[in-house]
Amino acid sequence: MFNLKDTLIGMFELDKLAPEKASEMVERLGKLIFQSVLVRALPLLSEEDMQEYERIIEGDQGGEALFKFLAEKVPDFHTIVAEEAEELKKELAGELKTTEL
Amino acid sequence: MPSEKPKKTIGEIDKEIEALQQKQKQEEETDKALLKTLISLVGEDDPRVKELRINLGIEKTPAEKEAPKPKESKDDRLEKMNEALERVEAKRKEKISTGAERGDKILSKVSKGIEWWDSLGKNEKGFKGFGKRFGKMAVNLGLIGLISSVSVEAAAKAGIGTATALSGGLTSYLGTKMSIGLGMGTLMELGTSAKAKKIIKYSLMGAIGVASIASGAWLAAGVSAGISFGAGYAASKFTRESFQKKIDERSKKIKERKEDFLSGKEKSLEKIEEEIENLLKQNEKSRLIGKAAELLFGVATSVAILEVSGLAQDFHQEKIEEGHKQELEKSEMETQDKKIEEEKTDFQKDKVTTDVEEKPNVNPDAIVGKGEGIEHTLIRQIKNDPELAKELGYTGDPSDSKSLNEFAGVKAHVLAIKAGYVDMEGNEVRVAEADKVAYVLGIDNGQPTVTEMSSTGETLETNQEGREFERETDKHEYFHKKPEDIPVTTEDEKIENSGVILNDQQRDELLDTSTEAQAENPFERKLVEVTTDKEFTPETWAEAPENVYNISMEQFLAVNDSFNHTKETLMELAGDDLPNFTDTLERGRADAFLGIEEKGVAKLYQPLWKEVNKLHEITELEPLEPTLIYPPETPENYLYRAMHKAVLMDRLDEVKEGIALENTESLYDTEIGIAYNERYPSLYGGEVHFNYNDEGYPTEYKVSGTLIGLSPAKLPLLQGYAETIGDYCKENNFPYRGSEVPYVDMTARSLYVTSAAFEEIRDNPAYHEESELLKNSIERQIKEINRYGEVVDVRKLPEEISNYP
Repeated sequence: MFNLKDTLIGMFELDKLAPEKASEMVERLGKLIFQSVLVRALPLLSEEDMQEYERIIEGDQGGEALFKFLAEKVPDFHTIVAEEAEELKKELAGELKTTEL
Repeated sequence: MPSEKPKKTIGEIDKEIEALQQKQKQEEETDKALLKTLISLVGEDDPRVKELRINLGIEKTPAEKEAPKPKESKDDRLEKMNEALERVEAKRKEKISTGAERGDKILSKVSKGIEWWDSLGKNEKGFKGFGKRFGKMAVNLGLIGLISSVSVEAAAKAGIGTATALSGGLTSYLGTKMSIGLGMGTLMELGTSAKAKKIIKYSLMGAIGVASIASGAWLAAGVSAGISFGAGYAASKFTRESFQKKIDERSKKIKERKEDFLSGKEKSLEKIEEEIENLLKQNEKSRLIGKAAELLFGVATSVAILEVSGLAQDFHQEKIEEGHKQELEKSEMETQDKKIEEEKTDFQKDKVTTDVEEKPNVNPDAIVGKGEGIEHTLIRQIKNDPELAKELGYTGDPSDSKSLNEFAGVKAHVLAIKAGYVDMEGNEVRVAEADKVAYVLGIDNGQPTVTEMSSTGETLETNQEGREFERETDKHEYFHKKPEDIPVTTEDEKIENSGVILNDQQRDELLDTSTEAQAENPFERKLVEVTTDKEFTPETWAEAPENVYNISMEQFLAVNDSFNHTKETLMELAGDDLPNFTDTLERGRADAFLGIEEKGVAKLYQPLWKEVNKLHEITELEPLEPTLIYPPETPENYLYRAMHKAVLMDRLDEVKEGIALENTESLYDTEIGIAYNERYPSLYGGEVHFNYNDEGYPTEYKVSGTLIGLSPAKLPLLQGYAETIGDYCKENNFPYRGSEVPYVDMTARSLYVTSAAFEEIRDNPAYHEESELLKNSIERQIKEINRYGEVVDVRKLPEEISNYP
């Protein structure tokens, strides 16, 4: 069963924040997942695909274009995304614990 | 007759209070002096000093020190979260930049990718930049939502339907929170200009792109999860089993609708665009921006759903093909123009030639020009063609332009209605571009026909009388909704509002049509806005547009009474969760409450579930499905509308009666009987009910019991056995005011029964949490009641409680 508390959304109580603050948090969290996904996904690309990756990030396309490309080229891409999101959650939980101590 | 005791005046009571405060102050001074003396005698570190400090209330007891800290505020928590996030950001940034600087190729490429991600849509003006920012935000939501315990893998395996349906089930809750989070607030600021229109369309396409990222279920699951938080509609409200049923139903519906969309995707998008624009216009007037944002995002998500269903790939392909086609057409047109020019030259050179290219033969009177509507072309054709006018029933002198004009105006309007271009509400089909389309009026087998043709002579469609109003417009048309600020009441007025005077026969013809329409079950398709805050007289109500179902004033009042009672009761039952509950009641969707079992619904929503299902059972009325224009029917709207039907069925009383009692019971899902306990001899049985939160912890309780022979003063837990609490307070020199005596009495009685309930369950480990809840409550009550002095004799309470300081 989907449980809000199990998500970054629940952890940060984004649903209770002011919209602009929630928006900012979503952007920061998304970026962290994005970069860790890249760290894992890029080594799995062939040379040719890597060139395509560079073409995308140097081009004029939107964010969805890159994700579509990676999902096609990287095996189990969705699992990587899910794992990295989970990893981020754990890391943040650890940091929070440090703060509370 | 007992002698009356002299009453104290307020002034006397105040003096007593003042004296008491003075006494308290003196005592404090004495305490301090005592402590000082003790310290000087035995030293600061002597345990007796500590003991005295505790007794004087200067120092906390060990128990108090160990007591849980007060819950941190939202701001504190946010600050901590922010700090934690900053640290993680810094660590990761350093790792990547250090690696990149050292020449790690992958990290260097990652770094580039991040730079690109950061800059995406930034400082990029226009709709393209907006689209990128919108798309980025949606991807972010997908990313962070993916970590739900709904396994992404499982969602993928379960098929697109599952994820899609989950999205569909949540769309109604894409309210202000999420929509603004997605930049919809910005979107709404764009207004209704042509540019804004483009941006909105681009944004919608952004949503399509997002959903098509993996062309599979994974992102759909992410988007759904992401969406759900904004919706305040966490699936935790429902069990997986019950939710699955909804999911399956929705999957089926989406599949059923797939064909429709496949046959007209481009049209659908244009329609969405047009409807959004209409909505924006309406909301500019009404200031209901939030509502518009809600719908807008709902629409965007609907588009995303289509995409997940596999349609977007087709759409993208179609756009590509269309792009090629347009280029091809452009090229062909250029060739054609060149050819015509050449032919012209040839014709001029040699006038004896054949018609290589047949020129289109379109009546110019039938072409819709700038600023014109379809009716203009019909009027023009009738006026300029006496034979046609005659065939359409004109019997006057063809040279009498005034008479002919009048006939043409009326006839054109009737024809426009009957051919489906205008409806009885004043809504109409308009033409998207001037000078491109013709509506050629003719007669076929004695019946008027309107043939839609392109300006180049291609026949697009032929319509005859009896066609329903064309809400599903063609590509060259759009639907124009009549502004709502013109009240439309009766059928006669509707016709008059259309600006045309009809003769009796024409009027009857049109009214017949509307009668047929009314013969359908109106409850199945008309939304009723809640109007309990408006006042009507029987006369104004009879004519009011709000009287959608034509009920009497008496029935209207009964509905309002029942609705208000129901709503108030439901809100009362929601307790501290009222904001969440209200959000669902007023912004959620009614159909989410049907087809699932009560036990699958969170406690907070069970009373509402009962009410919706009860009305559904009585009225057999289905909640209104969402359309591109209207959001799904809210539970509030459904209750109100169903009550309209119930009152007409003479079954409204069944709705009204019993809701409070029934639902109050439902809030407490554990009932424990309180057996006889010699400590509480006046309690002749009782019971305690607990309510639980989603995590399974008891959050509140309700205790009741039968007390016999228990006068206020004879509550055994009270100190002393005076005749009344008032006497007791007086005897013990406790300040009190008359109005507070009943309060003390009530609290004492509650304390009595709660203590008995506590003793009933305290030794049962299965009820540990419940015991703690009762214990805490008892302690609070003692503290409260003892504000009036040492009213409660804690020695007479259970052992755990008697330790209460």
